[in-house]
Amino acid sequence: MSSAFGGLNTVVRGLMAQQISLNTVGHNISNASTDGYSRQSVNLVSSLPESLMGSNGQMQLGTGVDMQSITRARDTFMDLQMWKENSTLGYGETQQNLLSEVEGVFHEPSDTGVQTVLNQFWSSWQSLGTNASDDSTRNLVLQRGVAVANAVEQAASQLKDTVTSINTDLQLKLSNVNQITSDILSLNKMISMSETVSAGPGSANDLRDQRDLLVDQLSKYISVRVTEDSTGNYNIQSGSLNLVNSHSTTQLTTYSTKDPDYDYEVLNVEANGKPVTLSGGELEGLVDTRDDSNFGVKGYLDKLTTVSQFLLKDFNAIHRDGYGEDNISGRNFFEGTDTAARNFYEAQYSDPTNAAYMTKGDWLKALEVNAAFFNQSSSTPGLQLIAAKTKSSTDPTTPQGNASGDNAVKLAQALKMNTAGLLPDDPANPPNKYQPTLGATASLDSYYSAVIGALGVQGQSAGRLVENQKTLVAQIESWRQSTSGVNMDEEMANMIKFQKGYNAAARVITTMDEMLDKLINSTGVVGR
Amino acid sequence: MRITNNMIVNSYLTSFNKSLERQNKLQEQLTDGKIVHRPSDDPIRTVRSLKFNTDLAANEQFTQNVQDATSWMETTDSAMSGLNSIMSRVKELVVSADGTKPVDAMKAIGQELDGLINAAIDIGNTQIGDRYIFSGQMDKTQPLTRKTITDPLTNQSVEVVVYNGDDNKISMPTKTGQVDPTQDSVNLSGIDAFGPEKDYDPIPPATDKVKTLQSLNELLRIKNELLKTSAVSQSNSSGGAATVGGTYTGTGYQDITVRITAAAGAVTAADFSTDGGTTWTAAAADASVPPVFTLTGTGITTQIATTPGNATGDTYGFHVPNTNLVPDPNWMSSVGLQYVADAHDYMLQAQTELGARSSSYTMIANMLDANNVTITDYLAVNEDLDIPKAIIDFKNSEAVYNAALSVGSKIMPKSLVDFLN
Repeated sequence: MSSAFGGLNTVVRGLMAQQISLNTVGHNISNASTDGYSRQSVNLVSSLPESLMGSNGQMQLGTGVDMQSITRARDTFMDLQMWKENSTLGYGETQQNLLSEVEGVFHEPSDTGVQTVLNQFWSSWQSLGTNASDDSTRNLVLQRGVAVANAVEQAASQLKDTVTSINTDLQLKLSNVNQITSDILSLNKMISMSETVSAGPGSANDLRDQRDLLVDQLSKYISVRVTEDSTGNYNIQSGSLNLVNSHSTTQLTTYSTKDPDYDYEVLNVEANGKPVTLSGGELEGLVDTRDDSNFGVKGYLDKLTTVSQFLLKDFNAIHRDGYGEDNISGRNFFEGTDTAARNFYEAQYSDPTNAAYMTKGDWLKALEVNAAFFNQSSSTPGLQLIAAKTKSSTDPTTPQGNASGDNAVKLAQALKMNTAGLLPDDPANPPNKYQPTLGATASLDSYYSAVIGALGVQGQSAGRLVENQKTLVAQIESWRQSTSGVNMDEEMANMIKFQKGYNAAARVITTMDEMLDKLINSTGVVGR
Repeated sequence: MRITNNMIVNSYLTSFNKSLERQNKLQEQLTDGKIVHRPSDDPIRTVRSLKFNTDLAANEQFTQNVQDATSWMETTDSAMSGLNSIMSRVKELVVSADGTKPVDAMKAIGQELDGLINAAIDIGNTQIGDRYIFSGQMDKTQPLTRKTITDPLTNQSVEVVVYNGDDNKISMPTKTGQVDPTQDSVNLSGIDAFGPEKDYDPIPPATDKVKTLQSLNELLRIKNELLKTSAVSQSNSSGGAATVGGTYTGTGYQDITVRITAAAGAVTAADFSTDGGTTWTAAAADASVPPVFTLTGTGITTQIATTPGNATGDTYGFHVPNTNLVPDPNWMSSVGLQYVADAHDYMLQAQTELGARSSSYTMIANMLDANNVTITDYLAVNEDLDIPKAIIDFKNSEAVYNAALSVGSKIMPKSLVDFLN
């Protein structure tokens, strides 16, 4: 025999279940556009039946519905995929952006790029070759030389600015990462507390959603490996670094060093005083693009340094071999104010075993046109010192007058072809000649266009990587949404279902109420 | 597969953005008609574009060089033509100076020849801009100066045209590579036009040899032969006139100065100098009245008329030519004419060489022009956008964009909510 009010209880349970389900539907709809939200559904199971004795033996009477749990629809495998691909996307995007900044520095192919400046420099030497005694032609050579030095300096300084902005970006991103890991830690604590104390594992739905969203953001900055422990905490590792676990985080900070070649500040990441090797994500993208000596900003600075070295070594050596209008040779065309540096590159050039006195940054700084050429005094006018002829006018065998532009043509040629056949004898190492700076086959033009070609290819492949990753990430996100997303129509249909269920349960209560009313108020009043 | 609203929205936005990206790229290309705007758009095209632009710049520079060379050679050529007509006139004059002409006529011819020589020297000093075209590589120094110098070897004065330039070539290269004077030189030096070169030993205290031009030197000799005279210039106009006799036994011309060392109305003693007054040798006087002074060693005699005005220190200067005191028509018609013919031939040869060089430059100019067109063509093929194709692509992507917009507007807003009442 079941209890009198047992039926009521059954239906009340039903009412509550429908009500909770409706609430969940409302929750889902409200959060339909929330980032990282996974739709929740109530697990309804029929409650334990009651045993009744009937005439044929025992029978089971249902006792209504039980709300077992509210679960979120989430595919953790998709999440792992997403976190892996997201960090590659972050890496690629950072690299693409920075490489396009470097492209902007060189500004090719256009009329205002470095190639045009070099072409005009060449033209001015060729003009000097035909009219070497003319002051205005000499002045043009001087101005174009200044333009070349300026173009190289400008490009170098813009690249150094890029490095500074990378450093700033790195600091900002690190503070974001630290913020995220702290938030994850506090969520870890909340989730593990609520799940162990009250509702059981996997039940802190909204908190978990928030935590997963934070891990999404973190994965773009740095590659992550996420494991969940038995109490519901996320252990997040990146490379060999333990970012978050159940009770602590590792705060990442920067430490600053000076680049040995160019003397700009380099920020690197450390944790607990030990340097960290970043793996994946935007952070590694920033650091790699800054420091890599092939495709990074540093690599392009190195290439500008090689151009500067070529001008200071090979070009100057050929200029030193020629004579100015005052019949004096041995002058450099490109010469800075630092005498020690000048002695070095004149001497180091001939003896490659000399210790590296000049750093790469020094080579860039030393690229200026010789100040003696700008001297306006009437006794030693600077323009006449430019060495356009190959022999002095007092040479015993083949004297040359001031209209001879042979050395000017030679200098122009040095800009266009490999200098191996043009360089003079090395006075410190006779009878050998100077060694070409760019190797045995490259000319300045071919070197520079190889640099631009490499830049183009790297930019293009970074772009391709980003495109592919974007498609992949969009695909994964789409799968995630397919599992976890809220479909309005579905929620509406559920809403109708639960509403009708609630209505039906309410109607059953009304019926039972009438029945009980009949029983309580209307039995035993015979004859009243 | 279960589809949710967010999926539809996301996929719509992604495709939409892709369509906009395509349009953006096409718009960037259509704005300036170039395919490539940064190396990562197309690295291979970029590298080719750099190469072609460099080639084009080189071509333009060499075209400029050829123009400069051509104007230089044209100027030289017109100068040489002027010289040609001068030499023709000189030949006429020398032919006309035969034995039938009196001394005065010869003198007139000599003066005209002097004028023609000056005209030739002026042509030799032609400039283009501020550069002397006949100076070789010393193009800011005037090449030809007419001078009378004393030959240190023979101690005689000789009229020459000194050459201040050099014999080097001015090169205007028309291709990459080092200067090659045999192929790309554009000038005639003074020695090429007026040579060959005849050097005189340096006159102390100078240490450089004196370079002179033989053709012009010989013309000057002819002129001097025509203008031979035994006119005497005297320093004291109230002194007695001097007459000159005898036959000069030295070579070439000689300036002789006779100085009175003792006089009282009649000159009793005199000395003479052959080097312009530096050393004086006493002249031997004979017994006549007034005495005839023999200038020992020269073969010349002079006699000074007696006047009260004769004073110690008076000087008498005169040129003495070799052998004869009057122009020698035999010499003129043999040696002189030969000199003229040699000089003319020399100049014609120089002009012919110049003409050959000039025509090769014309050919080079045409080649460079054709090259320019070719390179510009390559550049256009490489860099320029196929505008009709790009516009069609743009229209396509615009249509796709519109279609996406309208389809999206139809799908997205509807849901079951609109149909429940």
